[in-house]
Amino acid sequence: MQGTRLGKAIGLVAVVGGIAVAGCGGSASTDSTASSGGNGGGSSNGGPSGTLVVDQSFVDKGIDPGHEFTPTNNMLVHAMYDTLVTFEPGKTDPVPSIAESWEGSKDAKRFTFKLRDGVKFSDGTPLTSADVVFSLNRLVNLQGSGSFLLAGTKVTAPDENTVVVTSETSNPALLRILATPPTSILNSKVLKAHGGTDAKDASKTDKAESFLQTQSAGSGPYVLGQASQNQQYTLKANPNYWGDAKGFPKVVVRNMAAPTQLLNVQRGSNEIALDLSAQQANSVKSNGDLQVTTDASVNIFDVEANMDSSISPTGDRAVRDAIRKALDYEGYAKLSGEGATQAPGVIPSQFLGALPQSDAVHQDLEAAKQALGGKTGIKVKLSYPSDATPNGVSFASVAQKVKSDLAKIGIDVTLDGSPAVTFLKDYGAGKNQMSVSYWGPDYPDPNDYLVYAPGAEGRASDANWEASDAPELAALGKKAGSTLDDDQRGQLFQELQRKFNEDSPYFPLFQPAQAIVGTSNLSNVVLDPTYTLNIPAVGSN
Amino acid sequence: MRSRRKSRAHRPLVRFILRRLAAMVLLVIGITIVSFVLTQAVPGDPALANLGQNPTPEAIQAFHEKYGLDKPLPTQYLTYMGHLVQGDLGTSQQTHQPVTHDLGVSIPATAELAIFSIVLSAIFGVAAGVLAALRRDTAVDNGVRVVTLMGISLPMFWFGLIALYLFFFKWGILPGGGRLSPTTTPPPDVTGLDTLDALLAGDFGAFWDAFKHLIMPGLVLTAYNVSLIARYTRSAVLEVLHADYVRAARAKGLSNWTVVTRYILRGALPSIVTVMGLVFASVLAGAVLVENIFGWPGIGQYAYKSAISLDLPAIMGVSIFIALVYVTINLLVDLLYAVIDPRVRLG
Amino acid sequence: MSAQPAAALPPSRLRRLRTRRASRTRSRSAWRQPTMVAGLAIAAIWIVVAIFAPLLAPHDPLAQDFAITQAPSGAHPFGTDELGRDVLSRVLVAARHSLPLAVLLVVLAGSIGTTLGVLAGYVGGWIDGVVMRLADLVSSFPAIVLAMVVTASLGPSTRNAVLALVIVSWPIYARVVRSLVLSISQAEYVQAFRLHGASARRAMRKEVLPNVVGPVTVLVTIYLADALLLLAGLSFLGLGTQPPTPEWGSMVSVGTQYFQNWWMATFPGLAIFSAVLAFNFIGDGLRDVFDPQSSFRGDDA
Repeated sequence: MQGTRLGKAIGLVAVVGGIAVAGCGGSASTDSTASSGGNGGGSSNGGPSGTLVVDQSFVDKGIDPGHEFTPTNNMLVHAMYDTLVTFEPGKTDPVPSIAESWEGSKDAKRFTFKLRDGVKFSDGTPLTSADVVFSLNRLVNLQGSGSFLLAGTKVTAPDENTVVVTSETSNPALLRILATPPTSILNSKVLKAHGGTDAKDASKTDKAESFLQTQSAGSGPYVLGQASQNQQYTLKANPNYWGDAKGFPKVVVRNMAAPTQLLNVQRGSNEIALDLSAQQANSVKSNGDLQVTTDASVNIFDVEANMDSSISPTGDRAVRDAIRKALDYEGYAKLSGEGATQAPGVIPSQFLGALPQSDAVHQDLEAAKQALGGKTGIKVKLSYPSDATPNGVSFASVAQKVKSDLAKIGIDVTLDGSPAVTFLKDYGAGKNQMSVSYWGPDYPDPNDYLVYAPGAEGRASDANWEASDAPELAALGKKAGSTLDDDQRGQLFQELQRKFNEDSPYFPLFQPAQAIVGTSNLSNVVLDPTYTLNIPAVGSN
Repeated sequence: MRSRRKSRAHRPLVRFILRRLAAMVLLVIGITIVSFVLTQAVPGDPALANLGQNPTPEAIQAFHEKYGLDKPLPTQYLTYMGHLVQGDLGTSQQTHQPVTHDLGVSIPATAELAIFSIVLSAIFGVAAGVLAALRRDTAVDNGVRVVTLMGISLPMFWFGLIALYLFFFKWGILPGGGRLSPTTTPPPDVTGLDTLDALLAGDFGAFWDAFKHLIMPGLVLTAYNVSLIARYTRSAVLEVLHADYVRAARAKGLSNWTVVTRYILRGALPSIVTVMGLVFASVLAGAVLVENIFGWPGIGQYAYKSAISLDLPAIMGVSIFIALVYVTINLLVDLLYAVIDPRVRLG
Repeated sequence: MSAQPAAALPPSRLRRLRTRRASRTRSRSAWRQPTMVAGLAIAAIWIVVAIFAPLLAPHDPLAQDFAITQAPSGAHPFGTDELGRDVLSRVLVAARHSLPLAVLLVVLAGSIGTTLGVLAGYVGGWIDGVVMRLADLVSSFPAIVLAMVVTASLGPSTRNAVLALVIVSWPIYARVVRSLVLSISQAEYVQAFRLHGASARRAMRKEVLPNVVGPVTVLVTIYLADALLLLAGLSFLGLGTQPPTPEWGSMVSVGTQYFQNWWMATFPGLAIFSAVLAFNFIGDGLRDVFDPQSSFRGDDA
């Protein structure tokens, strides 16, 4: 039960401003021990030539699929490893990858995957169901950042080409989960030879993480060339790739701050910049050599209020109602610039079950004051992570705006910024009165947002929202999460969010702007909700 | 600490070094204890910082076990010291790599920056200081005084930002951060200093690229240090300017250049060496801010990232490394001082 | 930067630097030095600003009343920030926060350092040993690195930033005071005073302490500049003063996020620079008054 949260996605790295995290490859790098012989593959079948350069502000915790779970690492892992199913660039519908077909049971508890013939790892070994079982079990048993994705599932292999994933509870989201990079399939023989294990105690006994930082062991279109953690990764086309490689022979992914990315993309020939602000992206819109897309990101900034009256005045529904009416929603989106949108609900606009803008809450100071019913002297502490600026928006700025908005209805907000590492402790324990928070999806499915339903471990428990506080919403959440038909599921999630907007601990503010800028000769320069950028799909026109 | 007696015997020197080395060991122990206690006072939990917002209890437990955080503090400390003796600084909770590996990557980056800045500072600082002293109370002297005062008053983080804005963003003359352009193939890793490695490999394109990346952060660091050196050099030169041996040299009719280089600078050298020790210290401190601004992947950024994510093994590693550098530099300065100024008796 | 580098020096070398002084050849009046006058003038302006900021600021520094990120104009000479606040007002009001804090910092560090330095110098023995080893320990870090670890551990706030900087800067005072006390108490007139039957305590009060106060005052003035820089540096790293309090360092830090809007970082940075420069000018002049030969800061502080 978790999410691409603060700590992981943004928490502790990008801090002192946009230019804090630049950095490109130096000689001080982990030399790759991979010497995959004649690695001139890739350009063989008429694909593009040259080097694709991708600039991103890294949050880099390494590229072992079993341990990683940050946007940077997901993007890299996706280029080097395959998953059972996958997504087309920018889409969220599962399509075949290593599994050529699959079948789900009626109760969404059992999924059977038929593996494709002729899939080989980069060292030429054929990929079998044993590798899938090993990889998925290792993910669960490592107890790392992404382990929760498959918590409560069992993986078996009836034969060499069949894999069965069974879930304890109905889980219609399982297919989409199996397209996320932590569930990548690794070469079990290579892993075992380098200390890898999928045993129950893998969290203590697995020693393969350092090895995977120097060499990849997957079946994806690229293999790891050189890795300099937090600086730069070089990927090379996989000479033994089983599929149809459309990509570049070489890809360099660099840690770059946004202002630097802006200049690089204007000077480069095969360049993509992933972290430009809307303002920066618009400044190059007229440049005919560039393609610019500005869009709302799948991440959501929100305010969360504690439901426990013994902890916070927001335990009082009148106060929550007043706050909901007092926030200047349009203004928050402006903090992030063009492309940012108000978040009508907790599920981002790109996903199944998102609310339309017509359901959005709007500021109404008169109604807010009325809701307060003449109560005065309300003081509340608003906590936020002081060292993070996801999507270029600092939590401190959002918090200061909340303070200013609520002052207008006479609620006195004290700001309480602390580093994410400190913030998360009190937040997770449900001790904060109010928090500015942020949620990025773990996988592109509304079920990832079940943590918002009352009684759920996660967002709801962070706000002390018990199932008994709103039993009908808890039931609605359960029903939505286990409904198989996607249309029905989407409607149930919409209903749930409308109820959230009536009363809940959540005050969704906005989906920040996210821009992607690439040189115009490139194809598939699309922001991807799961992989950020689908590197293998990027080709040349 | 000063004696007219010359002491050239080796025994005092060896004893001196041994004593300083012993002090170094004590210092390391002190530092490890201080870091341990400090990071224990912390309200946050590193597991949360590194696992995410709401990790499963099993994941937290696994994390605590992996990094030994479930053990009582004294046990943690002893385990750490046991590993330290074997040269093992533990695993960083942030990068999941051995701290020694992380340090090995970031130290050369900072070293390159530091060397560049120190060499520049020394050349221009000494020149400006000598000039100011020789032209004491003239416009030149006052000019140097004002400029150096400005140099030590500049907030480095702000100065770096302004430089970036102008030279990179506005005019595009210099690269905006990092150590090398992506199109440049990194030279084979010999020393870890990109410029030097490129020269060793005979790759002048890579050298020029690495050098261009070095200019802005290097000069920003230099602004402070060049001022420091100039000010020390000036007062050191003033001290010897009217010494008898300088007067004698002048009386002999030696050229001005010879008097300055052979007699005055030699006389001022001990003070200049001392200030170089200070400069080295200030470069390390400046690295924290400058590396943050220029995305220079060195020890300063590593220290900053570890500090804010409470990555204990990394904090300890950085602390120990920096303290050792400080102590070593001080030791070297003292030794050098003894060599160039024989009046000094070690003690 | 701004890491009082002299703190890194072992006491032996500090003394060495200080004792190598030529005789005073002539003395100039500090008032005739244009830099000193300029320093006093700028400092006076900032002090006036700090006292009267609420009257001088054209707008409420916290009010998010204006269009966001406007370039400097007649209405907003320094522009507006990411939340539509008037940057000029914020820069002015921040003086009210930063200057008293810097004073508090040097006063705290100065009194702790002086007390320990007097104890170490006058009492000597194991106290001397403990104090000086502690000073060595603290000094073996760059000030900003140690302060960073302290504030990250205790949580970033103005209070903890000051606390951290007191921890890293007391050794400077302790060392100087200790060696002053040592040299004064061995001076002939003090020895004579004691020979005439004065108690150690009395000698201390009558002869030693008064002679320490002067130099420490000079030192405090000089280190005001460094205190300002260090405080701003910590806030820049997000480890000092927290929003919404306007603070120069954190304003520069936010400015880095909005890189194209140069005014957001430039003006608060200029404020830091001018205030620090003013105190450095004054310190330089003061040093001239006290010791014309080594008028350069840093060589015995």
